Amino acid sequence: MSEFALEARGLGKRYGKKWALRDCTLEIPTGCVAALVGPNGAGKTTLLHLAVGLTDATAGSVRVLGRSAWERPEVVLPRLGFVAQEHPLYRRFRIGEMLKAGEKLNATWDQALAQTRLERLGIPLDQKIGTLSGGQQAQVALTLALAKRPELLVLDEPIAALDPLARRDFLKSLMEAVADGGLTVLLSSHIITDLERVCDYMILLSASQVQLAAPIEDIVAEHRVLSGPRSDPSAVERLHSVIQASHTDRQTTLVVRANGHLYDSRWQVDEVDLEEIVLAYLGRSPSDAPESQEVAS
Amino acid sequence: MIWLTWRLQRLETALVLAALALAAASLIPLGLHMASVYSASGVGACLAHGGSGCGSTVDSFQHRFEHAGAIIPWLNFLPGLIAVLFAAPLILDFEHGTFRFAWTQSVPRNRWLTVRLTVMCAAALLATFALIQLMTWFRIPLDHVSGRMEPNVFDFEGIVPYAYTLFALALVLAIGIVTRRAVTAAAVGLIAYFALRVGIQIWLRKDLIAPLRKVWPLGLPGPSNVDRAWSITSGPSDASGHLLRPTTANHILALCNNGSTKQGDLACMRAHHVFNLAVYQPASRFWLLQGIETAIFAALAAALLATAVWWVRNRVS
Repeated sequence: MSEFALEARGLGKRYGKKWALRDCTLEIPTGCVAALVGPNGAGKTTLLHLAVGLTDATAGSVRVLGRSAWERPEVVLPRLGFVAQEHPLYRRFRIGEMLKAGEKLNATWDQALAQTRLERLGIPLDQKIGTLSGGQQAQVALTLALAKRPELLVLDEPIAALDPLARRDFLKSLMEAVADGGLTVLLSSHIITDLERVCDYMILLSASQVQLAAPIEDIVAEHRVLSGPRSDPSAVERLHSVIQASHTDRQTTLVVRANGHLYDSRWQVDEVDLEEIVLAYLGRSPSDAPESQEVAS
Repeated sequence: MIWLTWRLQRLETALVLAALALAAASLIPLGLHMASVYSASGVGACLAHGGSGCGSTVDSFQHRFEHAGAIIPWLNFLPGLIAVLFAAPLILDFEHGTFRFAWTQSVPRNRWLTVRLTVMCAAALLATFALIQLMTWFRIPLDHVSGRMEPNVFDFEGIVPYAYTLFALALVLAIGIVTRRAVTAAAVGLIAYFALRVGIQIWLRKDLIAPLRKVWPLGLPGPSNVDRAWSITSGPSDASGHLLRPTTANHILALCNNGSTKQGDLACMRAHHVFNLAVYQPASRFWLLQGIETAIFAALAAALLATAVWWVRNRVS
């Protein structure tokens, strides 16, 4: 088994003259639950579509489970579970027929797993897909992906359209599936709340580029918020990366990615939670982003 | 894959069958009645051997049944309807995004597309086959009497209906795949299909091969192959085959219709150099014209289908 469930090298996708994703290099270790976070239009869906082979790259490459899904779909697809945005299902089908479709389209198919899962969720097999609530449809789509017994599960905005209760239920059942073992998960979301409980790895995508890709534990450990009297942050910048600087008349607050130990008597140093870190990165204008370049056209 | 394809178009298949059943229910009783009149009144024997009073027997049969079956003009919508219904499930796959479900199962997308397109085209052709069989059976007596060259007959027999259906199918599908809107595809596709289909029937078909042009003196029998032909122009003309203007024709008619015998009237008109003109496509050209029109629509269908496939492979993700 490959060390990385997903590896992207200089990956880029251009639609017309606009780059939806640019120079993306990242690795997702096998066995982790990775969150792909970023604002709408950041390129999350493009990255996931490239990964599962729905589209081909304009530049660079992406391999999942050691192969390119675009070039070798017959090898990669059977080992991959994917739930597209808005969890598309055949509306006129009954749930049982949807499962049958999954069974017909896959060599590996765990019908018992699917039936048990839906039974536990209280979703009857003879119900029409079109009559299900959004949360139930998401659960059916997840069940279909899991019944393939995939090694990598890719979910595009699985919780975006769900109400808070359905969102919690969905993440709970996702965690149960992960707990059964052997599964790497990559899920995209523009909602950061709730993700920390589920995910242990995070990729932050903004302005078509990867801003951050690391274990969440490390991300939280490395980032600090500094506050002190209003001053120029350039002294801090020499040693550490300043992600965000905000000033009031008397006070300066910095979100910093520490390069080693951070101690400075002039600043009060506090821990910062994941959501604030993400917002600090997203608050940067694209020109602050590392390696930013003009769109080649 | 086959099961899924069938399940996805089950409802549409039922609707197509219902439309065909409706057509059959209105044409079969009428067809049986017509066939019994045809043999009972001796129209068949008349056509084969001729005989006294045959002209009026055949004429009255023709008058009685040629415009029977008010449903027949409506059946021109069937190839379009068949196309829309069988294209719809695939277009809905793109409209609803369910192609992303299918493409990330274990079946590679090329196979998925091949099976979907093959089943769709086969189903549409099968439905067209049923329509052709129904119409050809219904028309057996009438085809003996008046041929199968006229519009509304030509379009339902032979092979050209297959090309109509395939063309409409490819057109609706191509629009649907590009716009990802089934309703748009059905509306725009059907309008464009009928525009081209009727346009070719009215303006192009008669000149696909130069029609025959015959001029003969009034009162003499015309060329024999004018029977059962598609008459494009006919009427009184001058010796060089130019149709008389209505005022001229009426003037001569008034002049010659002086109450004497029919022979006398004819002689009078001949004296005024009145001839018969017929511009027509003879029945012997049925398969040639069918072949040309089929080739036109089949080529358009192939080009549209290729566009749709290219689009799916390169523009959809």
